[in-house]
Amino acid sequence: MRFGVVIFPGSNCEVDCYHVIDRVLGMDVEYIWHQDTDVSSYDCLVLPGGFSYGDYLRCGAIARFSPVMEAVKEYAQGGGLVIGICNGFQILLEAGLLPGAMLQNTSLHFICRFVDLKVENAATPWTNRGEQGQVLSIPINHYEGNYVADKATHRKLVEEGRVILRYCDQKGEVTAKANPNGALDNIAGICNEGFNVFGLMPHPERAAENILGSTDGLVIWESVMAHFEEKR
Amino acid sequence: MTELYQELGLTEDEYRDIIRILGREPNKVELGMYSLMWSEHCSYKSSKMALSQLPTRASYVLQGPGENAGIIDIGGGLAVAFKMESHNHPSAVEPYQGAATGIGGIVRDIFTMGARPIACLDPLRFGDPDKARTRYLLSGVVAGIAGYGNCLGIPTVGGDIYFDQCYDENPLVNVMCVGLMSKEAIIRGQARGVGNAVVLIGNRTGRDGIGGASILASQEFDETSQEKRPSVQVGDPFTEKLLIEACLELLEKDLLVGLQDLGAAGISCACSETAARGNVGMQVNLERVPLREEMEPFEIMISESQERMLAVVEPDKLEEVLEICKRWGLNVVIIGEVTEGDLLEIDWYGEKVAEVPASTLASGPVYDRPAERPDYIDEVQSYDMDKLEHPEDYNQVLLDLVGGPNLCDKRWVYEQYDHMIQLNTVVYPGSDAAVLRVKGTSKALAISCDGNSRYVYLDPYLGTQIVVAEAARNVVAAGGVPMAMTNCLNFGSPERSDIFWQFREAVRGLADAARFMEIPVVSGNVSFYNESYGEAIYPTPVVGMVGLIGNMANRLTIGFPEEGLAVVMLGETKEELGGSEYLKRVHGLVAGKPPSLDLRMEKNVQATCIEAIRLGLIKSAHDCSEGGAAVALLECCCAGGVGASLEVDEGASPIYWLFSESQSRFVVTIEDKDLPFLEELAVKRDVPYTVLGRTTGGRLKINDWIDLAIEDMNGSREEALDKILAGGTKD
Amino acid sequence: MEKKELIYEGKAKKIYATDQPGQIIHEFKDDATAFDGKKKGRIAGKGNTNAQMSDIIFRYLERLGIRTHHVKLLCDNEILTWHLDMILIELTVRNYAAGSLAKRLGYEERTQMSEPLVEYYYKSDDLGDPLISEEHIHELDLASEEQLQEITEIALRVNDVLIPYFQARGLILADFKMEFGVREGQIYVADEFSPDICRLWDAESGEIMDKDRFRRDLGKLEETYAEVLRRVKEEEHGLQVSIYISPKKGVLDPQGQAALGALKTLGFEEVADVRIGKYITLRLEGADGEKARERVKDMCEKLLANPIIEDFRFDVLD
Repeated sequence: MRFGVVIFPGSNCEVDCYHVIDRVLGMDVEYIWHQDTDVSSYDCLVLPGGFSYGDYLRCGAIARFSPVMEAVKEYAQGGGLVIGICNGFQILLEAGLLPGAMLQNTSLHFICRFVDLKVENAATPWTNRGEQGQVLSIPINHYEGNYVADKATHRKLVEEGRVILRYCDQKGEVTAKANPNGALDNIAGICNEGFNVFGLMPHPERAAENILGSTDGLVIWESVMAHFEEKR
Repeated sequence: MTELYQELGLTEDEYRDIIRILGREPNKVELGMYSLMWSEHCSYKSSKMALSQLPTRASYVLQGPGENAGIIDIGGGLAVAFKMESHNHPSAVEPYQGAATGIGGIVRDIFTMGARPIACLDPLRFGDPDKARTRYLLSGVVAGIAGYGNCLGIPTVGGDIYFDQCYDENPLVNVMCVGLMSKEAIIRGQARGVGNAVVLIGNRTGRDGIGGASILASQEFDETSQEKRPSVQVGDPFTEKLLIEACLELLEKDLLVGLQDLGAAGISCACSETAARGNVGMQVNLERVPLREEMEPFEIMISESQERMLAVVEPDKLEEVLEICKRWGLNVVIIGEVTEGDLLEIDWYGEKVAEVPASTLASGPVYDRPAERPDYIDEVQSYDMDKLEHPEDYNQVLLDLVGGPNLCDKRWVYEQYDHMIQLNTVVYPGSDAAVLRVKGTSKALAISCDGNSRYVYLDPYLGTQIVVAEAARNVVAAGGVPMAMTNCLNFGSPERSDIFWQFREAVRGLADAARFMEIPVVSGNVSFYNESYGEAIYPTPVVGMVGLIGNMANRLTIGFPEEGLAVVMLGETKEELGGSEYLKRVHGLVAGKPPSLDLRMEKNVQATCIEAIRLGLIKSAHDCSEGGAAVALLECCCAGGVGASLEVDEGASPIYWLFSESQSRFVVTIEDKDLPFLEELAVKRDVPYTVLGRTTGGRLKINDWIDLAIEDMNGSREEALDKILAGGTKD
Repeated sequence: MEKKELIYEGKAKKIYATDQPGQIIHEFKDDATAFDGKKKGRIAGKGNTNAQMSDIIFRYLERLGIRTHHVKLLCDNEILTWHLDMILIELTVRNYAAGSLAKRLGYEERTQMSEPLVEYYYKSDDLGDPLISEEHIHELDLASEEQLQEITEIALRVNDVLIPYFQARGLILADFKMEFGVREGQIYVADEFSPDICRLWDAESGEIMDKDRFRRDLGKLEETYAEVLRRVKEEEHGLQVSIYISPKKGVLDPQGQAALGALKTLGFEEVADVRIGKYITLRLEGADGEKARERVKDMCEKLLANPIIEDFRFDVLD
């Protein structure tokens, strides 16, 4: 399976994503420069975390106009698998590939720590190796993770099972206390209508090796690999 | 011009020296350049002599002081570059930008040597937490470090933070950066090769940091000019990130002869230092420098605008260099060339505006300032501890200590820093040292910053030795062998004989300890003039220690890992409360002598610990420092979530046993079966060895002195910083 | 920088050497001549006006990447420039017919050309700067094929950028003349840019605002030159746009909430709500009212605001 990790000026988690895909998962992976316009040869695109364009103006607001994003859009519209992590998620929102928008964390501080996430839908290309209700320990690391959407969009997301991950406590209870950034309905990750585009604020590449504290992030990576195998 | 030089901070002697060097009076631009290059900040004129006594060599030191960062060989073809710097004064003015640009500056010092920055650490000092200004500075500085460091994708993995009134008006923001590189790839800040191009890369130049030199500004009335106001340095981490990638790519492709970052004194410094190091001259066409606004030549020469690098490039490599910089979206322009001789010639639209011998700019005057032992030392050291009436509720004392701003949990700070990016952090903040794995090897780096300034205030020589010992001890507790250190020496005005005595003694202590412990000093920084209204800060030497863990599997953290382990103390607890946190927090005193330090014992205790860890005997380790054994044991319980039941010498005086800050001590856990082996290692080195008890349950029990539940201990420590930020500590 | 000996005195300028090799000083005179030197006169202040206008226009061209011989304005009527190896061609670009073109080809004055018309003249005082063709240029070896192509391209680009530039200042650029020189193998725009070498008509009244007033004895010479300089000098030219971006109603504004809390703590009880947004200013060059509004709206919708969480409004000031 071939992964493509997009690099925007200012991205900084692309190396970590590459490391996990290459070393931990043992899959083919290449970098895609933001000015490239051909993404057709990849089986999954990764928009990594970081501070594209310094997060100037709004997170992801400038990156979404990069030449590569046209290709990413077409690829996604054709059913291609796309995962946007943190800043990548923000870029997908600005580009309209996922609904909603991001605001600053209610604490007005950057937050870097492990959080617990509840798998709300285990029947997606991204979570099929997990179980409904499973609690994953994966770090977040952001200043703007406060997800918002209007009522209609929110209702649609919930009804269609497109809310994939929610912030929860260690026992799997979705509570206000467990919400680190004020996100609407504790939403940490969502999918598009076709379930082929996945955006999440937590960093699954930071929870893929025991030595770093958790391997729960592997659920996401291994799920998309399993999905790809199945489709072949 | 005669009074002009005084306003620029030059003495009459220095001015005469300049005339002698040039053979004439300096013009405006030259005067501006000398005034900055010969300032304390750039020339180290007051500290050079003392610093020359520091041991800087070892077989594995690839680069000592004198370049942008120190570099050590860690084996396997890899090297680690690191340095610490201060940005104290700008942070007092604008905390966010001061701290942010501080990170920017130190990071540039690392990648300019060819290393990829892999971590930052930030030792910080603030004033009385009850003051609103302190809270303002604390929030701003932490946000600034986070804002800049996180954007760069460099994890901030450690540091420390202390509060004391002496820092009220003069906060300290020291920042350390560590980088990893292949040892073949070192590039130096040297200009070489007559005819080679001098290239400026990065952000446009503006009036950042021109400050006092602004009086040189032209007095001519010009109706189209804007107000010529010097501006606060504002950081642009996005451009710095692009600079890192572009420069490392240029170095990887072997396209550069020399690389230097622009920091203090901007272009003047970068050009003169690189020319001086390479024994060449340089000719610069100043009009080619991209500007943010209209500026005069002297302003361009001394501007401290951020995110700029100077590269020396051979003509046949120029095209590729330009192409790579442009691809990363960076301004890149050829501003001059390397010449024969030693003159730094600055031209402005064809007109020569400055011509000075580069080496004279780069090496300014050297002073041996008068030093006089101040009276307060005797006074403060002779405080009679027997006078003190000690409280009897030791539980309350302990909770009070860890509920204070110095010893409390610092999560509020480090959760604002991305401490995980690059996937190398295997021991997160909150332990004795940060541990970073070196991918592709089984090794790891253990890094710690320390600097108890209270001890240094009470006895500069001994106090500084303790700083070195403690930094090394923290690295050992993490499983590492201390290899080399960097430092930042923060003091008041060197023109005061009492302050300069503190400085000289501190450096002497640093040198003696470094020599005895066999740990070279490979880089460092001095920050003088940290004083306001005649009140100086405590002398604050801070050390950044880098150690190597040969096998990452041997890394340790402080938390008690599980129940049923034996808790052992290596080293001896003495009756000494001088300079202790207990004395300050409970009695409001900073007095007495710092705890004694026997360097031979310190070395032996550390060696015992290192050997025991290498043999796999130790399950967790924590050194004893501020707050004494009681605080250390409390931290072990809280970090591990496992309590302990300990029985110590009943005859000992509780206050002393619990809260003495005796040096050379570790608290370790070990399986019963391994106890004899540990004892053997200790005995062979004459290291005192005491089994205190065992880990068990959810409480910390020490004799009938201490009996606290982990939740209660956590409650005190975790709320403290939040309370401070909400408005003060007194409750 | 020392002014040295006089190298050359022309009709409107004196050229001096300097102590810097490669650089010369142009001193602009108040003298005016026309019709090949047959008409002579003085326009008070013209030296200052033309030098200062050249300074502003050339610096503007430099900002846009067009190489000129301009180094800097030394004083009111002196400019320091690079010393060029002159190409002996005077090139004119005409957007409208006027003067010699109208006369020569029978156009009515002010007829608009279907596209900018380029003409070449041989720069020779003795021969009276005659009109020449490309073939003449090759025969006389005044410039190589590439050089001719390059100076033509430069002139047309200058025309492209100056038309809206002057339009924003209420002037129509009817035509202008350019000269070129070579330095270190590169072509640089030479001479000056002033009402002496171009035709400018007031956009509203159509009034002639250039040397034609001298040629045709229309009077008000000093005032007109001063007025042109004034319009060019005006600091902030173009349309000023102020954009206000605020969080949509109903969207949580954590920053606003934090500020609200802080204000109340400071004793400002009367504050009931705080919304924190952004204020962005734009300066549009060469843009006109209605179209500008449409384009600003587009800018806001596409980039400057996120319509999901932000509202925007803007003001366009002339």
